Amino acid sequence: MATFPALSPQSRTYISGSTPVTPINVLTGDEFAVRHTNASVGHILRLGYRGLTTEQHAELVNHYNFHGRFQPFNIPATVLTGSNLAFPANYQWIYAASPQTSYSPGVIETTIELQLVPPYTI
Amino acid sequence: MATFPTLIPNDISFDYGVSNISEVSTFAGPVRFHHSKRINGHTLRLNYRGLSQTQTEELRTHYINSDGILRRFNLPTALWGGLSVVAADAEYRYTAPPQEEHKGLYYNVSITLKILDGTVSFYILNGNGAELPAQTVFTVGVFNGTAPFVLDCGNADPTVTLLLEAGGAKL
Repeated sequence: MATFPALSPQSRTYISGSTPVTPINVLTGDEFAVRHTNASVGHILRLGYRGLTTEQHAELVNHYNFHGRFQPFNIPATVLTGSNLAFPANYQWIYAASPQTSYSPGVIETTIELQLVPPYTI
Repeated sequence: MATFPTLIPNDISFDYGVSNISEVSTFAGPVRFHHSKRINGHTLRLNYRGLSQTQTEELRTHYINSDGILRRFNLPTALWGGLSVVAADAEYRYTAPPQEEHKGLYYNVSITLKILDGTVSFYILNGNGAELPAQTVFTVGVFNGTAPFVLDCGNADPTVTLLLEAGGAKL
């Protein structure tokens, strides 16, 4: 498991996760909620890179080739610089989808979407 | 299997393929099962602008000779513009007919391909050129002999020698 490349993205989108909950309506009109797990799921982080060098792009390709969606990994602090984001302990990231790259002469743009997953034992 | 014409596109877009996994959704996130070390199924889109009629016919002829989306073929590495994404001998297939825009004198063409064999994610440790240092007597715990210990791969191709140097390890 290799840490994600320490490349600062030009754009970043974060969607906060939540705890799996089933709301139940009762006859009084009130609504109760049942929580199914202590896990917090659904955290999504989208990173936009523009103007990568071919070496930097190769870092991203190699990291995805060795992890795919299967192997979780950590991300370095440089990816989250200025966000002040904090995540539950021992959670790691997987790729939510295959990264997308567009390459026009001299300009490489790559979009990466990551998903935070809890450890198998909580 | 005809190689794709060596026409450099104006821009390309692609994804990195998918790993061979299946997954089950649970309340605590997806549980994933790994089936192979291959990453494949990349989608590659080639966009050409300002082609001549002759160049457009080259692309059209290649699609016809590939029997549309049936046959697989190789792509010249120059079309990747120096990017290293898949092996040079990767095989491709059309996923859809090429889209042509006829602008009078010039043509725009958009081609969508799928990469069939992708990459295999494993490491090859190549010890070629490594020199064996002088051996010294070594006795630590159950290890009694000379260091460094040598794991000889014999007739492995390529021939490599893996050295496990115990150093000052202690139980």
